Parts: sequence; structure tokens; C-alpha cells
Amino acid sequence: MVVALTAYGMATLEGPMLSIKSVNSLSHYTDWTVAHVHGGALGWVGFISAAFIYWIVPRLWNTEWAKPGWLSLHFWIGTVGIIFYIVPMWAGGITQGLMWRALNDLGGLKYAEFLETVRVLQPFYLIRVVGGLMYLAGFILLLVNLLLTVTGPKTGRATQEAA
Amino acid sequence: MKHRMLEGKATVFSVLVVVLMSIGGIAEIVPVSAVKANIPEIASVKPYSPLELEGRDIYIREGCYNCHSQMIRPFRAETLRYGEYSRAGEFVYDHPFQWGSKRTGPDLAREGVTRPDPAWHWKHFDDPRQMSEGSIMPRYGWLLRDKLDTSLTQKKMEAMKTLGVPYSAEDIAAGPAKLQEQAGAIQASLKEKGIEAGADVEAVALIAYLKRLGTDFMSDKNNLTVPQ
Repeated sequence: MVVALTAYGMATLEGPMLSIKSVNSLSHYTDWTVAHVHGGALGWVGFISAAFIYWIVPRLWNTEWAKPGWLSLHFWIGTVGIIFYIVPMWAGGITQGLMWRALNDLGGLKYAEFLETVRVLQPFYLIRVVGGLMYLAGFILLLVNLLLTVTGPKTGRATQEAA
Repeated sequence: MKHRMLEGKATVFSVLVVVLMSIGGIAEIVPVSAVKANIPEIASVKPYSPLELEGRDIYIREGCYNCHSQMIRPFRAETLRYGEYSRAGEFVYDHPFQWGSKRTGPDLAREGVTRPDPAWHWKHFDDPRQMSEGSIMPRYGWLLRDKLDTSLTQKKMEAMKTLGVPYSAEDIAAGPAKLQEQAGAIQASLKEKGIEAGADVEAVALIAYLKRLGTDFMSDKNNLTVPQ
């Protein structure tokens, strides 16, 4: 929840900032936009959905999660996954934007070959793949846990807190 | 209390929200589409040929727009890299436009001006690393082999016509013949560079499309505000 709300807050703050013309002139067409939308999608939409599923499933089936330990495991690989995804895309996007616009002393392009920027970005893309796989693994945990919980024996809920 | 009454009624509240948003939407959208002068016409910008239209569909099918933009912004660093910046009137026959929003690869809005050689594109589709060392673009080998489906070419032209592209009845009738003719020309140009290509493969249509990009505007020197 906290991470989801933080991601929501960051994404909604970042959105208007990216809409400012001078910021957009740097960020547009770069991976900065990719970082921004994934902060919203993975952080806010994904995490708040997971939190809701973790909350409601025990109530719907009147049981406990089959693998309670997986909940915090999902949380941590998901959170670290998001960071591994977004931070390189931020760094890569800004790098890309700055390299595209960099001029040399004569007023020409400093990095005239587009490929120069592609080469610089490759490590960032690799880190992003790792982050994305971690995040995906977290949701596979959720899915497996859900199947085990729903198909397994119904134990009833251990604690009934006041609604 | 008043808030409670409003927010407690989901349907009423939804309708009111839609009304409110529509006012903003109308204020923004109507003037843009109603005022014709917003998109100055450019006389040298003409509709795509039948082959280019098919090529454009390949461009869309393969998702080229995911990594390539077609819109050069009026900044010094962009015009230096890609050429003359894009004008609104250049896209009047694009349904839908292919501006894209991400440059994993370079912008292609002036690709026809900066890279008119069919052989370059042919080899680049086969293996991008051949032409650009270190490129991360995937190979598109099937474009060089798969036959172009031309069964719907005339229907596509008619569809474009309903969207306002001025194809005449003669243009549409002559569509298939024009397509063959242009494909033959590209085939001949590839042969000059030692490439034996079928005139009926998808790559030929895509090359025709890429060769066209950005050329119409540049063909008339009067369009240019800054001398080249």
C-alpha cells in the first residue's frame, strides 16, 4: 500500500512536470517516458491490485494464504524489481536526451551517430530486463499462491479482526 | 452535506463528471478541427502511391512506430540530426499518422531524403548489423521472402478516399498497374546494386514507403523558410 501510494504520488507529480515544454523537449522520445509510465503501471496499478487480492482472497474463501511467507517475498522482489526497472530508465532517458541535443564547439552535433547513444544505453536496458523479470516473478508467486490457497484445504481464518 | 448528496448518487455523479470533462474537451478539440487554417495546406504534399500505401501497412503491421518516430521537432539539435522539421500539413494523408512517441531508433520523418537507396534498406532488413555496427534492431528477414498481399489494395485506396484522401476513380482503377510499375522500378534499382529481389515481396513495398517519407515537402524549395 505504502509503496503503491508512493508510486502513485511520484507518477502524478512527474506527469505534469513532463508536460512542461522545456522538460518535455528533453524527455520526449526518450526512456524517461518509459520510466514514468512504468512507475504508474508497476508501482501504483500493479501493487495496489496485489494488495487488494492479498486482502480479499482470505475473506472470500474463509481461509489463510497457503504460503503466507510469499506475501512479503512478493512485496520485496516486486519493490526491488520496480527500482531496477525505473532507475535505469530514468538515468538512460536523461542520458539519451542530453546526448541527442549535445552540440560541439563548432555548433554541430557532438554525437552525430544515433548509434553512439544506443551503445551507451545497452547496460541500462539489461538492468531493466532484470527488474522486469523480478517483478514478473513476484506476480507468478501471487498466482501460484492463489491456486494453492483456493484448491487447498479451507482452514478458516485464524484471526477475525473487527471490520 | 451537499457533497454527500452528489457523491452518493453514482449515476448522477458520473453524468455530471462526463458533462464537466466534455466542456474542457470541446473547448480544446472543436477549435482545432474547425479552424482550417490550423493545418496550412502544402501543395507539394501528395497522397501515397498504391505500393507505398501497402508499404505503410507493413510498417504498421511490424510495429516500426514503436521504436521509430516520424516527427522532427523544431530544435537545432533535431534539424541537424534529421533534417528540416516536420510541418502539420505533411501528415494530412496519413490515416493514422505515424509520429510515434519513442526513439529507440532514429526518427524517420525525412528518411526518404536522407536515405533514398533501396539497397541499403534491403540489406538493413536482412541484418541491421550489416549496415549499422552495434544496432539493436531485430532482423526482418521474412520481409525479403514473403509475398505482398495485394488483394485489398484498391479497397484500401477506397477506404482512404472516405477519409478524405483525394484518390480519383481512375487512380483506384489504375492502382494495381501502378503498383507493379513502381515495384518493378525498385526491383531494377536493387539489381543495379547486385541484389536479386522479387518485385512482389513485402520489403519492396516497405522500401517504397520509406523512400517517400519526407520527400514531398522537401521537393518544393518554396516550402523552406530557412535556406538549406
